[in-house]
Amino acid sequence: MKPSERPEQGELQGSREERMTSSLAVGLVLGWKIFQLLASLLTAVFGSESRPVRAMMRARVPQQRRSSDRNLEPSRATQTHQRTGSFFVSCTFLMSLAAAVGFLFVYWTGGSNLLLGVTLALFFGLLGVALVLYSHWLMPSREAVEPREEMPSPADVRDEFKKDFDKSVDEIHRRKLLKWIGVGAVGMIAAIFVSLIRSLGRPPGPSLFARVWKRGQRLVTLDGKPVSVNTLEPGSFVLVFPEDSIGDERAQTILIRVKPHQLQLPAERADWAPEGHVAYSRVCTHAGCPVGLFETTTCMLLCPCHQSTFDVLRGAGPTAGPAARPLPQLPLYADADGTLRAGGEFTEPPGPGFWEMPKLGAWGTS
Amino acid sequence: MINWFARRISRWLDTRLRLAKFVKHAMDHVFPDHWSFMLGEIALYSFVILVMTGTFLAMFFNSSSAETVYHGSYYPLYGLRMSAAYQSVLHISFDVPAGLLIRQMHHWAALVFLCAIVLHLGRIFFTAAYRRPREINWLVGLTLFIFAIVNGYLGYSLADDLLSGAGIRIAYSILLSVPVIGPWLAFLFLGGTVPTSVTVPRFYSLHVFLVPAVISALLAVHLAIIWRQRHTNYPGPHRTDRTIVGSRLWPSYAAKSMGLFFLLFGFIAMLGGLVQIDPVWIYGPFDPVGIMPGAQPDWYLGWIEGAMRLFPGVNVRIGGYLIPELFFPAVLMPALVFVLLYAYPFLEQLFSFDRGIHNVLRTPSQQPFNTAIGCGVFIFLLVLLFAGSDDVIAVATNTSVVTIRAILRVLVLCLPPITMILVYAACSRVKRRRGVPEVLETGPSLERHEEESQLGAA
Repeated sequence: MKPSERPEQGELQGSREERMTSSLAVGLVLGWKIFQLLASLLTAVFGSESRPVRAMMRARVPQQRRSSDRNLEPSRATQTHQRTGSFFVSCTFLMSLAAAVGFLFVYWTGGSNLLLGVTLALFFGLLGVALVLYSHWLMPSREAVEPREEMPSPADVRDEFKKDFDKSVDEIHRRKLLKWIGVGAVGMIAAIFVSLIRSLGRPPGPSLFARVWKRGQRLVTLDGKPVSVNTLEPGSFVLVFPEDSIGDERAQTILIRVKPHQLQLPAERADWAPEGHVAYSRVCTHAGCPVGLFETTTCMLLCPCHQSTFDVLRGAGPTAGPAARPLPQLPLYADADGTLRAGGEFTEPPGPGFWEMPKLGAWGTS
Repeated sequence: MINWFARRISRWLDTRLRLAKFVKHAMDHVFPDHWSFMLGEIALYSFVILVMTGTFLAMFFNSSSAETVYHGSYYPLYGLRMSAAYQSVLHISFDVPAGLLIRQMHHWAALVFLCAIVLHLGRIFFTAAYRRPREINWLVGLTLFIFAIVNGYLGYSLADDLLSGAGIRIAYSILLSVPVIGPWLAFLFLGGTVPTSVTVPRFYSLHVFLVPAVISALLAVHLAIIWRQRHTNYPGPHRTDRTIVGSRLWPSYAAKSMGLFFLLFGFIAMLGGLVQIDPVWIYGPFDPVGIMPGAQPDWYLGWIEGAMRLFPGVNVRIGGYLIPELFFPAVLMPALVFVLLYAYPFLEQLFSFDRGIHNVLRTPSQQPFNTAIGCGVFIFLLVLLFAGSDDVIAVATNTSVVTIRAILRVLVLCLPPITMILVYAACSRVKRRRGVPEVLETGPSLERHEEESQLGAA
């Protein structure tokens, strides 16, 4: 990416701000106009002799649809009640329409997410309120009591069904053949579907046990540079990979340099740490997150996902958190010119545990 | 004009479909009036909003892991290498008009959907609405809940940002941890060791096609069954196991329900416009060796995340084979919770010898044992939910994660039994004081009621 291809940050922001200001100004003016319109509409609607009110008065008085229904509040059918109700409903409905106009305006002028959200929310919210108010003030509120249907079908209906069904089955010849066709078809369809699942992935075996490091491979950083015994200061660390798989998730390894006298590795790993360099798999043994944090003072590796901590000085065994197994360690040696090289394979396959995971030391070739 | 048109249309339809009787029957359908019956409706309407917003997003989303270079209008990521999927999410967020609003509404609607489902489930449980004849709908509802969680997770993973990458890694590790079949499960589902290039296209196909189809089908079954069996009633006057009391669908219930839909739409639009959610541009594109602290799943998976954090690191080996520590909190615990939920109506029938048909609900105080069990499980899951963000709590309270975790480990074991005992005692006391209201098998009150209302009408 050449720098000249990048648009200037200032330009982008400037144009957006300008657009915002102008749309806000137009919005204010339009809002005032809409308010005036609403006010005149409301006076028209609630002037006592206006047509809409008379239409509202003619609205049918709630009547009982079923003899079992009873009116909760019969007094609701009064005219004052309807007038109050239609006032509230009209107010909210008109406001919701105004909000919808606002949304369209903001959308067509390319306004912000915030204004789009607020206007849309006002439109739908007020529309909802209008409907609920309508139902509350201007619709009949009755309580209905009805008998439920009995759950098992009546005995005679069931008997009749059974008789008819049995008779119809009796009329089918060679019923055994039909049964075999059914069993065969269902079985084969199931077998074919289950087989197709196999296309979804390759067998896990080879990739879970695939080798990561070979003896003699150099440890290289993400940009491909080999690491030597002089690269790191004590107390610092770097992310390294085998030369042939840079950037690979499973091969990611963390190389840490500590002071040699601090190390308390098991006896058989004593010569795995040339000049205080230790290397561990960077894939957490708990849930597979990269163990990305290193606490310099306590020499602990910390997984940011579930806060498992691993003791770098003692072979990266888990000291706190939910992990159960240590991070696999990589044996190291320094060659004649001081470049760090792998002395073999990790002690365990890297990554989270699985059913056939070999015991510690049964996999690596140290 | 509208009336004339409506008459013509209904006439036209009735000539061809013979609808009048059916529609009249539907209009007269009785729905009980109680706020807690709206929770299921909210879940239903959230799903409608999810489908609407999701369809809009699907027009722009590119489900490909192919590497591209970003040339969109979000400056900080300009010129960066990323997957086509992540780039299309940035495109929706910054360059599609109203794209960010719809994307955030979609995510918020998913959270509201799951929240409404959980509250609805709680309402059903604490009022014992799962009793005969409603066991089938209890099972269907639980299955819907599982599919809703799965689709939430799949959608969360589609953006292919650093956070969803962590989610995919953890899901892979969880699948891998299942004894015997784990590795095959993980490889068949994700196509190999993570990260794989098939994850995003595969998740996309599941997220927009298979799982929503299953949810729609189950939803249809769920609603058809409740339509057939009709709702339950809270105990009260005229409410017997053989009657239903409430308001008719047309007109006031229909208006209220539509109003609820619009209110919910407004609420989600407000969240989508005002409250930022899943800002993937801050997390950055997925990177196989990258990770961010403070990573958390959406809330409906927080309990599993919390269990994974609290469960101690035990190394279980059986005859040379390993059961990874992840299996117990992330597979076994959720499985047990759901098995208990699925089995609950049948366990209750088994132990209470009550196989009768119940259409009148029990209030929580009338059933101390059920309420105690429900509250205990709820508190257990709530502590786990808090444990799922223990690192955030530790930072906020300026204590170490180790301390917080020790406290939560004690709480997760002690709080549920304490809650159960207290709730049981409290409910028993209320039950003793108030007595159990008698629910009439048949309704002599029905005839009396009819007489009354006829008198009232005259």
